[in-house]
Amino acid sequence: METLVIEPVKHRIPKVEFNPQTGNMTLEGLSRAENALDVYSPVLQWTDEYLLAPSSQTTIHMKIKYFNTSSAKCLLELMEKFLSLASKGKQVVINWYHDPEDDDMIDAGKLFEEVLDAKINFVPEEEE
Amino acid sequence: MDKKEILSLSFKGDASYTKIDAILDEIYEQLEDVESRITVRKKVYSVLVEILQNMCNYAHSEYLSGYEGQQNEKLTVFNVTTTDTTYEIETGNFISNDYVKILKAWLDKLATLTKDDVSLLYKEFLKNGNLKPSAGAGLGFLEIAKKSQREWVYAFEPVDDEISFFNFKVVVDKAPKS
Repeated sequence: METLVIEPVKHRIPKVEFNPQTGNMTLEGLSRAENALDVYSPVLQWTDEYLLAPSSQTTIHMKIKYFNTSSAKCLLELMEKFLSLASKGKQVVINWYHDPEDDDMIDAGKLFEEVLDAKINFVPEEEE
Repeated sequence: MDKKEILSLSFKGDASYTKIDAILDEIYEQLEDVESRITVRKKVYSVLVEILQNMCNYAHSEYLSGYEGQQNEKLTVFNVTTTDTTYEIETGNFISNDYVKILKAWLDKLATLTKDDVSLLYKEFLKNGNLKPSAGAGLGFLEIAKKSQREWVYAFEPVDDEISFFNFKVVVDKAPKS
């Protein structure tokens, strides 16, 4: 299985890099597409395939600085898929990177934690 | 209190996703210039994204591509003003009369909810919602309710048997936590 790479579109589509060998899944940038499903469909499809032969540990590096409501639903679905690996004895870690002053992304992470009923590691990172 | 206009746009016809996308890119960069506090900037940006994307979703399709009637002057308008303590966002666009009832009922309902109710409902929408864009822009207005003050002003002005002009005004507080 090949690494999934989606190049970002400034302010609109995040960079996606999912490596099936290392299990590192990185999403980075802004996610603002009006119909986010158009953007995330290939990502969700790739993930379904990955679930059939996953790495022993999967780490989601969530480095998204902003997402709209359309993206929120897709991102939740994506994380749910990865978290389903836990029931198959695989380790799944979600790292939620955020500007320490960005209450909006911290609150969004807490909401995801609640909806997913899973632990999220919050990683404060100063903006470059 | 003095009001300062920081963004103002009105355009005739073609309120397309492409156009809205370009406007939102510009807004993102302008907000970085005018608002240094990230939490406030994100609140204003979130509200604008949801309002403008909703506008594309529910704008009357026939009028998306241009309207030659007497209302031409205000096909789609929006502007953002700022005072010492707030950002005020005002939008206007045509919607079909069929949709007026649905939208009005949803906005009237949201107006009665507390911030906690809004958060709960938002969570329910996320848990239960499917991935398809929701007809009725349900989650979008919930997001706006989360990020803005609750005293929304909205009006539906009938134009003819088919369409009305929808005016919507929302205020975002500059206090980082509100």
